[in-house]
Amino acid sequence: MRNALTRSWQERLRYGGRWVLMAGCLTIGLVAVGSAGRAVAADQLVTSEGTMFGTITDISPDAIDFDGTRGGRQKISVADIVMVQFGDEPRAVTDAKRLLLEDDYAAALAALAGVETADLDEAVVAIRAEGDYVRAAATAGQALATGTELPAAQQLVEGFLDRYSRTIHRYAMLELAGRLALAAGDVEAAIARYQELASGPPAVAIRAARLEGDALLGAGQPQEATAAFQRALAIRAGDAASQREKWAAELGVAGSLVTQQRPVEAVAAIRQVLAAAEVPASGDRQAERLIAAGYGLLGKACLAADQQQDALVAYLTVDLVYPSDPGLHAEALAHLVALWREGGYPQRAAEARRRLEQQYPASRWSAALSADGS
Amino acid sequence: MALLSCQRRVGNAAWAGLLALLVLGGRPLVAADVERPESVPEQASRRLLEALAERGYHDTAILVLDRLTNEPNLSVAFRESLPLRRAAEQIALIRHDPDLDKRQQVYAAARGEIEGLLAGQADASLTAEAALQRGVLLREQGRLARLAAAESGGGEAADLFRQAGVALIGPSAAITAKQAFAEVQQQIEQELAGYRQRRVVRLAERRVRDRLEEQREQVRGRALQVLLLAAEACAERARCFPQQSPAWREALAKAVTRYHEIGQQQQARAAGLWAQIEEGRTLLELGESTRGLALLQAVTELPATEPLIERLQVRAVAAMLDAWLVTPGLADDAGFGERLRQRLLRLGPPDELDADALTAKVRAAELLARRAAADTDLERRERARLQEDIRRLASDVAQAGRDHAAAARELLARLDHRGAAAAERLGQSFEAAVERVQAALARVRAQPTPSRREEAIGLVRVAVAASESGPAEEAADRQRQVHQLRYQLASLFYEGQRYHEAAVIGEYLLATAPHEPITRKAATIALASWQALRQQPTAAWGAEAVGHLAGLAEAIMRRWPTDAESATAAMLAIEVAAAAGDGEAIDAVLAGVDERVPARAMVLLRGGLALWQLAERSAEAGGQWRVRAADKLDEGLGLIVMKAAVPADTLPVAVAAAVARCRLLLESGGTPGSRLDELLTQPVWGPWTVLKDPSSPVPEPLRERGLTTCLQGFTAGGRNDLAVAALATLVDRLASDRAAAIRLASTVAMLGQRLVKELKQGLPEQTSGDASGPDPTRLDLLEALLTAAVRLPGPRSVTAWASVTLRQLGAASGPLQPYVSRDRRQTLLRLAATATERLLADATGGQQTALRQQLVEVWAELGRWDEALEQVEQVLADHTASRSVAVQRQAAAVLEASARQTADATLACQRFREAAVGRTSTVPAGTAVVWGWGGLASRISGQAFGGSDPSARDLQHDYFEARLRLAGCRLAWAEREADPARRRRLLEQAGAELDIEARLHPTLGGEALRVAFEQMKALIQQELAALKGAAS
Repeated sequence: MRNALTRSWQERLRYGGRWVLMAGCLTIGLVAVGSAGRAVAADQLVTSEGTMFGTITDISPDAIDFDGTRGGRQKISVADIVMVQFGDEPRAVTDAKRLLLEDDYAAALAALAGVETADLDEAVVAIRAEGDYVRAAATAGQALATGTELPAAQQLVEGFLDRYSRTIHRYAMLELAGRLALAAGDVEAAIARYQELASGPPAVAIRAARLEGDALLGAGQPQEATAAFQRALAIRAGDAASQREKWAAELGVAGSLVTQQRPVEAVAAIRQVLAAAEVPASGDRQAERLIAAGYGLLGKACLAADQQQDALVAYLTVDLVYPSDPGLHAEALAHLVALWREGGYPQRAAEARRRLEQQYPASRWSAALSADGS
Repeated sequence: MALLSCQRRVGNAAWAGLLALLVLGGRPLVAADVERPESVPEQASRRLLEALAERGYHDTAILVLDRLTNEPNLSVAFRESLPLRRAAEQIALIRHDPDLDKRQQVYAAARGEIEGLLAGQADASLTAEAALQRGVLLREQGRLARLAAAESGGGEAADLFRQAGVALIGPSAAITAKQAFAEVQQQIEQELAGYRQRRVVRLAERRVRDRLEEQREQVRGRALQVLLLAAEACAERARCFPQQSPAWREALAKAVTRYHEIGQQQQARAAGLWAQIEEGRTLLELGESTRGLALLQAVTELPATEPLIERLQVRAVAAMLDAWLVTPGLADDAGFGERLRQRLLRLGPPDELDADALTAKVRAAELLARRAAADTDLERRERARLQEDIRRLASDVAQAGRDHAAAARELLARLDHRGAAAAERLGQSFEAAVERVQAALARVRAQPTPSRREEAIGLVRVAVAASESGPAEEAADRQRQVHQLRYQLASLFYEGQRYHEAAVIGEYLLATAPHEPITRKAATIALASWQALRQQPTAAWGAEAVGHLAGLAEAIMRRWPTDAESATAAMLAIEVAAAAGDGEAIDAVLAGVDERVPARAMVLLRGGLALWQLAERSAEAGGQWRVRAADKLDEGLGLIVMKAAVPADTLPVAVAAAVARCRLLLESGGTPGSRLDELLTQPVWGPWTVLKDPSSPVPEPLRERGLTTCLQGFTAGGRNDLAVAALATLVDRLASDRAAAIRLASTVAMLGQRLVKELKQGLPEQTSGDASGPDPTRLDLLEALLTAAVRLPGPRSVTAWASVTLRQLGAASGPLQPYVSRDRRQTLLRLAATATERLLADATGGQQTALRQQLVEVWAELGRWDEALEQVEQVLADHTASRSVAVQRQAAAVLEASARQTADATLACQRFREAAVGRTSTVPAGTAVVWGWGGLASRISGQAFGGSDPSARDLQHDYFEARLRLAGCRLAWAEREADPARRRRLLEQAGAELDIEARLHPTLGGEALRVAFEQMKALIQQELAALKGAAS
């Protein structure tokens, strides 16, 4: 733990742009002190391109100013950031964030429980924000996965947004707030939250429109949803994150086609998106999730088009190749139970059911299967 | 048997998956271009295929592969790997199929695919994978051969296992799998080395590196799998030899060495553990129990840190128990102590026990029972505990109802009254009934007698009834087994020729369990049963069977549109529709054949053939069916045009279809073009390619029809050399078949007539000065056709046509004279003489006069005057013929020509005289009177100048010609006459006759003849003047 003086300048540095110049001088001083005395860990930014070491000099919802040990000063867009790790944040907070990235919400909350309250209370606001972020995000993730405890999760997320305005997690939390509202059945509130994202960098703005489309589609308004997706696709941007969001928007358009009873066109459109999409790099869960969503949607469209075998192949792809998203995986397993049974493979159907119940006992797909009694 | 194999499959599939885990790269690696980013569909498909294969879902893997053929977003390398992947999945899928013939077929097809890849220029990864799959395939073929040769020894099987080892690790194979994977691994390491030097790796490069690392892991796994397979092939080879024989011992020892090497190299990996267990098991088999048990014991003492290790340890324990049970004394099995006993007791629940666990449990129970029986001094408490453990172990196995269930029940029955009750209870279960069915089926297979079949049928019925009881949660599995039982029942009925019952059960399964894999086979049995019933003597029942057959075929095509069963059904439906002459039905069946059905080409070809045959029979609707037949045949042939080979049983269909298509092209009129030639000479199934080989396996009628089509096609297409060859093949082939030879002769005459016409039309005008003439090879063909027409025992009309044509072509004044050598003309004439004499020999055929006249012409052309005159006399001996102007013209002309040709002056003078004034001779048939030119002219003058009808005009021409030739004969006679006085007299007589003729008929028969008369007169005067000059 650094001393109070250091905390004070870092806090100012991180949340007050006017302190930037001073921070630069002090950073030099700190490094000098560090090298003369104890070793101080550098801040880390995990991006889609790799991990960077250095010092975070400013944070806004849109980007982080980073003084890297390699590459010098640069601004890293929120769309490229996978994880932030402050040099002096408690190890448990870092672990919790990693678990959160793997969607292991329960483990993330458990890891966070190991952090001394005093440690966080005494920490700089940025690190307190990290702890609160993990708590709110993991709770929300759990609530969304199970469909329970939504109000508590909403409260935590809203609280975070009230307390921290200059955090790199602001857009993520706005999105979570929207998703929670949607889960609670309040489409308008969700869309309002999503629209708050529209002022962000291009990738975030595209995502905002895409999420709005998803919400409208979920609410049974495919034409309005298509308009939102088209809005997303019309935003000019060439970075990788924006491209990924556009692929998601294109999948949204295909989803609208399914809802409009045009599954054959949807199948063709989804296949096109999948063919154009980039292969996920190892460990790139976001990219994997997108591909899994594509195959899940393909399965749905094939089912609607009465192409059972193609649907089977699509859901098997989610199950056996891209199973990292629990929701999508559970959904695929539920469909596989039905498809295997229908295809005359009761043992494979039983196996899929066993895996669904073991891996996602709390998922709505598991519950639906039990309720179905089949 | 199917039930039994189904159960075995459970165990094997489990170990196949486990093996895949052991080697960390269970399935074909991708021959990938890592520099080019992989597309998502390709990555997804590749990984999905690997995952499906690991789970043993080979049928689904094939489904995925089928869909990938239409997927555009695949790299060339991945696309090239699809056939190999398909072959590998087919091998894995068929591995436990009880139909040995089907297995053999699949293996043969896979072998072709693999060898093709190895012979080609495939990517290194693909070559390595193909080399591995070749080893796997050879091993499977070895297993199949061992099964087939259970009684006759396993020489072939042993050799196949040996070949498997060689293909995998050498030493003598051109490309071993081991070497191929080593090369791939080296390539990958080199590429990865470039990334290791770099501190910053960008995202795109990271993807490439990830892909390389993934490949490296796969290749390592595959290399390890190669070694394990080679060791396994060695052990399996040993089992082909008699136990304790030197070959058996040697092969097992080699397997031990190989397993040992893998175990040593892979100590830290599960694969090493597996190899160690197999080494131990093989040592036990060799009789080296101390070493073997020590190795297995070591495995059981490792900490079971994960489920995989635990499963391997159970496998080791099962092998140890097997070994202990055959030891003589109790002391020998002391190694089975409390620790292992408790461990086996804990294994469960019964329905989750794998094959090794079941073996371990039943063997443990047997071993404990042996201890209990041998040790009579056991304390009561200890004995009770022992019995309780035996009961628990055996009950688990009996309850699982799979491997060793019967042995476990027997053990329970012998144990005590509680055990006996449990055995009885478990014996009444569905599982026990199924086991009894299996035993009965095995007896039927061993010796298929009616009584054994009846016993099996009874037991199957009992088992089906027993399926109604049992735990609800097992209902789905039980239902599946019931479907299997019903299939067995249908199969037994079919084998017992109880076709109605077999058909009904097969159709029942199709209706109630259409998604069950076994239903396909059941439907095939139903189809075969209805087909058998179709042949029955009662026509009405036969017709009913046809109705069922058609309905069933349609249902099968609807249910499995893309599978082989659909093709079989479609072909049967076509056969039925063709027999009924229902072209619309054939068309409907063909329209219903899915594009993905494996034997689609054969279905289309059979359908096209049926439509063509219908067209041949139907005069009215023939045109319509011809067009449809051509479409279907083109489509079918298009599907097999690129095939390097077609199976022997489908070759005749392909040839017949090609023949039919050629006939349609020939019948369509016009120039056939290159399509006809392409079809006839297609390298695999082209009619000429196949039929020119006398040993090719095709039915004789097809051979005759096909070769005839070749002859017609080549003739029409101008492939003269091939047409000659086809004709020669036909003549050789059909020499002994009179009816076929007669058919051929007619074809030959038809072709020959066309050819003559074509040649005549193609000849240049005589005035054109074009000396190129017809294609010499075309003339060769014509000669061949004419020769065949003479030699074949064909109809009289054909021989007559041949003889006339030959004479015309051979004549010095014939149309082909400028283009045909004298020798060839002589040959043609001799052939003409042979043909004519043959016709003459058959007096019943009539036309003797015309034939003899023809013969006279031929002999005259050949300069064989005696034969010619002999025939003349034969003709003239017939008084009716002798009054014919044509006959007398010919007689005089022959005499004149023979006189001109002979060097003998006396004979020449005599012949000129006879030609001029006639002669009378006596021949066996009577008197022959030649009028001579003078006599002819005198005899016809009255008729010639007595009217103005066309016949009179013709006679006038004959008259003037006779007068002119009379003068010509006198002139020539005079030239050969030695006596000058006689010569003068002859000349003066000739001149005077010409003068009289000019006075009597001043026109002299027209301008051309008048000029000839004047020229003749001038010549005579010249001769006279010369004669006077000489005298003075």
